[in-house]
Amino acid sequence: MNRPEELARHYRQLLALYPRAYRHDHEEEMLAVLLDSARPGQEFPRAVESLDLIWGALRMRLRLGQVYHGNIGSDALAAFSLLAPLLLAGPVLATLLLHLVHGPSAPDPYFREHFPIISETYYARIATARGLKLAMAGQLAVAIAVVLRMRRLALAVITVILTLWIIDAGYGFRSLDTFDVFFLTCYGLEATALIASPGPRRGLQLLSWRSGAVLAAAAAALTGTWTLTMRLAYGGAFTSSGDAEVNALALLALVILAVGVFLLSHLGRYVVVLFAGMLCPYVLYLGWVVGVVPVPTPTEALTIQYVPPVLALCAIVASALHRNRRFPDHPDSTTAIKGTRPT
Amino acid sequence: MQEPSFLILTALAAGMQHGYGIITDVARISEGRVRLRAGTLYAALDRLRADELIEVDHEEVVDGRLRRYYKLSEEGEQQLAAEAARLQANATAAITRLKAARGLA
Repeated sequence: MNRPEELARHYRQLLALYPRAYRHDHEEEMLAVLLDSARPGQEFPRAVESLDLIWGALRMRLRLGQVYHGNIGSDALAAFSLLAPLLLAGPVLATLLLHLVHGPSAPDPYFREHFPIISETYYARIATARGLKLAMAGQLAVAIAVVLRMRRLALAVITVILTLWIIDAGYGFRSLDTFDVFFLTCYGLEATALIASPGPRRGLQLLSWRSGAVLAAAAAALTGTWTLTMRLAYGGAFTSSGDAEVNALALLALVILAVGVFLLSHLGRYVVVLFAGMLCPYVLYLGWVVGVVPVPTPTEALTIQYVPPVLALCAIVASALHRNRRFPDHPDSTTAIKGTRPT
Repeated sequence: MQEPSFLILTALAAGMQHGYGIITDVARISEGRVRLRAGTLYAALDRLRADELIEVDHEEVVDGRLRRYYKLSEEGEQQLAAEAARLQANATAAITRLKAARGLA
């Protein structure tokens, strides 16, 4: 083995520290740069080169989403990182306004009858509404950050909110009812999407007029149904039976919109999976109110509500691992030049 | 914007370049003060690509080695111009105040 080949072999050993998908795209290119930069007669990587490559590999492994920039999974996450906060902005704004107008809510008879344990803890907390207002104000802040394409600011807001959430839980203000599950799911999925994708900047590029129109319709439907549900919680004028009919229509609208988004583009099915994970606690709640889904016990309710978000997060992780092994659809992989790597 | 990113964008402002070309150009622009290594360069390139400031122009094989050429995007041009203007304004302010201070001393 001559010197350049031996040096290349040593460089490859160091490059093996990089994520597999990243190596697939950049190993040959980086090796070429390393060999071009090598001193005449050099046989081994210099210490400073080795440290630089080790540090570079570590950085790449800590920000996989950047590496996978452009693949369909990360594009879906990028779209989700933009769309989820925008979709929730209307509902949380409506709820905050309701709280300002109506003040602390009183337990609704229907809610109290069907969810006695949740009702007690929920209404005890909503009387102060500290955690709920915090969670919703945080969502608005995240929405503003993603519109401004400030990924790090959005992540910082989520980190602060979740930290306060944990502190709040320590003081007993947090329980694991529908809205806690819902907001924890939202923040968890949003944070994952922001970390594991190029973020809202890319999401904005992917947004077409058509998908924007569907988003606006979905946001309107969600805001409407959410506001109606919240009016129930805030002792509004709707009767239980009337509210059930309205919620049934709302549920149908959300399902139709989900199918529309699914069929909208190649990203649609991925985005729908993420939204399904996020909105599942709320949709289940609607289902219980409407009577489509049998009312479960509180324990069953918590179990059912937690399964979809956990599955969604598992799907994201599995997708990342799968991609790390196969990287089938990275745009650069289609242009990779074959035959440059020794066999 | 960090200095390596600024220098990489500056190197690409003159036209598309491959990895080794960027390293040598950055060393030239910074008068040898900044010497990028491969790991640092590609971490920066990956970040700049994710931020849509640069994009891949084309690839070629030279002497059996893969070269990928990068170029500045429109967004990259705008951000580089904004950053350069900001640095220039800061430098002008610093120089003006230093001159004023010397004049008073």
